[in-house]
Amino acid sequence: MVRPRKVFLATSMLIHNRRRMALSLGATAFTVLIMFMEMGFFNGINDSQSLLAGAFNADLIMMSDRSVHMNKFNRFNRVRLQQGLAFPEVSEVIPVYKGIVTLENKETKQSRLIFLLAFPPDAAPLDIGLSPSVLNELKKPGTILFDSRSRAIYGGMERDQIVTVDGRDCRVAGFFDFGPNFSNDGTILMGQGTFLQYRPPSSRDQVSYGLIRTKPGVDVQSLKKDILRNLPPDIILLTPEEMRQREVRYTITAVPIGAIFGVGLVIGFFIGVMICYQILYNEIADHMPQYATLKAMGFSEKYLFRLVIRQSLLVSLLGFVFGMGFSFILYVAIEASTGILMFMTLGRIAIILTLTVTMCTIAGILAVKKVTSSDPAEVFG
Amino acid sequence: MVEEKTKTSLLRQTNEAGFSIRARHLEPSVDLSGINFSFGEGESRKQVLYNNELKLFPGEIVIMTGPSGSGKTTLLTLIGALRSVQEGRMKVLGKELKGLSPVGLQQTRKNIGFIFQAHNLFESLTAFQTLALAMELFPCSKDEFASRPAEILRELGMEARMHYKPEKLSGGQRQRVAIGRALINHPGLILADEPTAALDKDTGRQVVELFRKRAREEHCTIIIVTHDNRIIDVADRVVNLVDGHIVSNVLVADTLAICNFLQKCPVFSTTDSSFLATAANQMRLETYGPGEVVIREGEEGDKFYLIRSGTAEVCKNIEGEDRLVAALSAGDFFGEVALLKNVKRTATVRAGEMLEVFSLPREEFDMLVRASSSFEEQLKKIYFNV
Ligand SMILES: Nc1ncnc2c1ncn2[C@@H]1O[C@H](COP(=O)(O)OP(=O)(O)OP(=O)(O)O)[C@@H](O)[C@H]1O
Ligand SMILES: [Mg+2]
Repeated sequence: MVRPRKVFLATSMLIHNRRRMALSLGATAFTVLIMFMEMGFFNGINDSQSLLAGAFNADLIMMSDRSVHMNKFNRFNRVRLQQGLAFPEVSEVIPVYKGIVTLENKETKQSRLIFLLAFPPDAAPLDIGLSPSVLNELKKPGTILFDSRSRAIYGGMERDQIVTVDGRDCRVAGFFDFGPNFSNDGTILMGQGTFLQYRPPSSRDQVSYGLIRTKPGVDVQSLKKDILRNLPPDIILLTPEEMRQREVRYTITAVPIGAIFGVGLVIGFFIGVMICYQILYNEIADHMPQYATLKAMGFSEKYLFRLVIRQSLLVSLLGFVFGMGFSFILYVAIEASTGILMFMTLGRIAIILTLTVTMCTIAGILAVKKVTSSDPAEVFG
Repeated sequence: MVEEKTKTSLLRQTNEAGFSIRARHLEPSVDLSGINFSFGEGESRKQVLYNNELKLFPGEIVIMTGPSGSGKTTLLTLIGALRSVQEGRMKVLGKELKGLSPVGLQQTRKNIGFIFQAHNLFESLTAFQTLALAMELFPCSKDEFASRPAEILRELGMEARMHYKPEKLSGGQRQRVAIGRALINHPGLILADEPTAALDKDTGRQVVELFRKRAREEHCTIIIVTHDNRIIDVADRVVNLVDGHIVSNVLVADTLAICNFLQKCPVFSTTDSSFLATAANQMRLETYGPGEVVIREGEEGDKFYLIRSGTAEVCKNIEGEDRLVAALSAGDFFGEVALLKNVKRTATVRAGEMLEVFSLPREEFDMLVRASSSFEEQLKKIYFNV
């Protein structure tokens, strides 16, 4: 039999007690799961909330200076948009209207609020995989497109079905894929014509967003400064990415719901530290005579430290793999049932992995104190 | 190899009087003096070792005995660098332990093999792995790593159980794994607390033989705390500890020789040999440089002496002038007259060359004399010429 050069003490100690190993792995996997969930919700909120900002098919977005986040419905006069078009670098401006309207559920006869976006269909202002033919449908008066990932509260929708939007009949001309977020349960799109037709004339020249497209090769940031300098200060300009980031910042800092999950992530981390510490501590407490014996034999404190850390790393890595597997399944399930975006990116996996390893290492460092406190003289007699 | 042999035989040599002698240059592997040790602080402070002195040499198997609570284990942990020395000098394997840092103590422990009463094996490691783990203390080749544990386990009669974990081993087998672990790095000093307690007669013997082999071939010093009479015969030295004091420290060969000599001493010729052995165990070794006075004529007599090695001169003051009246050498005794007759010293004894003597305090001497059944007659016959 070929025998290895080293004795893998940490590994063998860990797998010797199957019950404890299952417990350790389970506990670690559980904390990993908690952290993934908290982060999933945290990111899910941000991702969903800022989804629209990132989806604008524009170089700059003009909005009212009071429109500090996406749930604000302040509008500005479209004259500003025309003034923007006066800049030679600007090739195109597109008005976008947004609002909250009611949509009646045909089955329950209940009207539910839904998020509405309206725009000139030809301009294709949203990068959400809408085909030109579907967009074309919006040119016909009284048509809407329905977000097929809207929550179920609106009832079943079929193509060409007549629905009641704000008390008026509209035809469902097609579907698109977008998804709800914490503020909106669903989304419908409308052509500019249909939208304005239902508006009182006084508010027809008020728009929510103005998408600005530039000519090729234009420096967007200097154009932005240029426009802001020349236009009255009742509007602001953001690139889609800036708007997305502003949205994430807003949900993290201003809205408690983002913060709750952020705090949850931190708490999950510390609970993880405590659970790992408890497990390691018990493991060490059970092996105190053995550790003291190693000390008596002349093994250094460094050796014992490495032994404990090695065990905690093993637990953390294995626990992580299991925890990530469970989290993935839950992500899919949650996304399917709530429509909130839940996905793992390599970056996010790396963050949780780092947190897990840090967690177990901290626990190891705390627990190793117990080992170093063992008195080698105690094992004698 | 030849040199090794001579060294071995040097260690085992005895002088013409039958006392064991060792090479002059041999450094003690354990050399302690003035060792005091207390547990606890302040009010609850409890001293368990008192001013102990002990010199142990390479190749010696030392058996330490003493009543429970006498401090044997404590002394062993001090020698084993498991506790810090509080007071006194403690040189182990050439290194002074007093004031050594924890890391220094740990480094020293690498060269000491410990056999604990509780063997504390890792339940996840096989016998083989347990020994291999201990080898990680020192760099070694891959081949050695595979062969040495097997070799030692074979010597301990454990080859069939080499790849068993502790749960599948009996108490005695576990004990042998722990012994193997202590021996694997060929330490210069082995400390064992009741190593044969869990073993049956045959395996106990096997272990003892292994100890003996190590001591003979590698000149390793082995200290065994034991009450096991079955192994007492391997001892080169027996140290007896009572209430924190080393009350006797004798080389077995010397004890035998002392008994022989005491027997030849007319006073004790009829004394029961068990009393002689007790007395022999109570004799203390004293060393005198050339010319140094051991006893002086006219002083109070308090000890009886037996020469272990070297020579001595006996002088008497005759008419105001020191006269040499006798020369003594190994195996001769002196100092008994003052004790028996209860008079002042009748002569001066001075070391000739380096002199080693065993001394027996007056009380023990008296006890021994009283144990001699025909004491009165003897006394009269010899010393009063009646
Ligand atoms: N950690 C300790 N703290 C306080 N007192 C101790 C400690 N260890 C031992 N003692 C005390 O020191 C004295 C000597 O104990 P030690 O264990 O050295 O005796 P021993 O000769 O080995 O006894 P035994 O034959 O029973 O093993 C005892 O009175 C004991 O109660
Ligand atoms: Mg003891």
